[in-house]
Amino acid sequence: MLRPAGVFVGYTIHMNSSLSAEKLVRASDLGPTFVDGFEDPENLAKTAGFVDTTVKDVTPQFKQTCVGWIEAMQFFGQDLKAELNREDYEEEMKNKTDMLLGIEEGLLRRSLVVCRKD
Amino acid sequence: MRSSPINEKYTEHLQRQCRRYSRPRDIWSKVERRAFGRDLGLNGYTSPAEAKDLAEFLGEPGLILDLGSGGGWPAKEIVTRSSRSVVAMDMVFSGLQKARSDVADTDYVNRFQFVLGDGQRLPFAPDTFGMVLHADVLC
Repeated sequence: MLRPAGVFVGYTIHMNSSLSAEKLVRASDLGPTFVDGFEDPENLAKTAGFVDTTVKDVTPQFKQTCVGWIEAMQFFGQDLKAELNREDYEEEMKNKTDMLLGIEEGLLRRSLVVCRKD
Repeated sequence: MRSSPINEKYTEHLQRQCRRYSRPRDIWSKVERRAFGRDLGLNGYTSPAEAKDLAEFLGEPGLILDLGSGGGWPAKEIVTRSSRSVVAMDMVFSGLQKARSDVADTDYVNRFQFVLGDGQRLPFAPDTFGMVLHADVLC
């Protein structure tokens, strides 16, 4: 569906590729639902047949965004619990704090991946 | 048919996404303003600065496919920064409804189309798009 020379671009959260088996499991537990592959984004793009792949690490910005979400959700915590329900709020908060923990432990990364169809 | 752990995980994920898009808008609008300075209608981790960076890679002329568009962010940012048109595709109907409602009163409403579909079975002809973008969909 992509034209020749068309661009495939996006952000992806992935595991740090140099982790031990034990840490990969922890990264998978702390990361988003489907972060459980061990390939780094550059190899994945290459395997899929894309060329001219560039990968830019945006983990510091990712961390800042996580912190922003958590701080704002805590600030409006009472309102959120009232408007949603307590379980939904707590689940959302846990997802975000787990993600932050994964970043701080060096397990999770986020990258801007740009590649082109040959 | 027995459901596998992967299917259960997938179903759980979709249900969570549906719940997210059905949340009361007012309170999330306040949360987003506090976190990002703007009400973006976002549902993930792509900040305004990162959305702007995506717009630097418009690729070949033609339509843009926003794969897993959810509520339409960051595609809205790209549309406002270019003259391109976007096909927003997601498998969560409530996400697409939100995106459609968000762009309904904008001057770029005619540059948005919405498709309910699964990224593993893309319903498009070859060579349709000059750019495919995604934000935390492949994870």
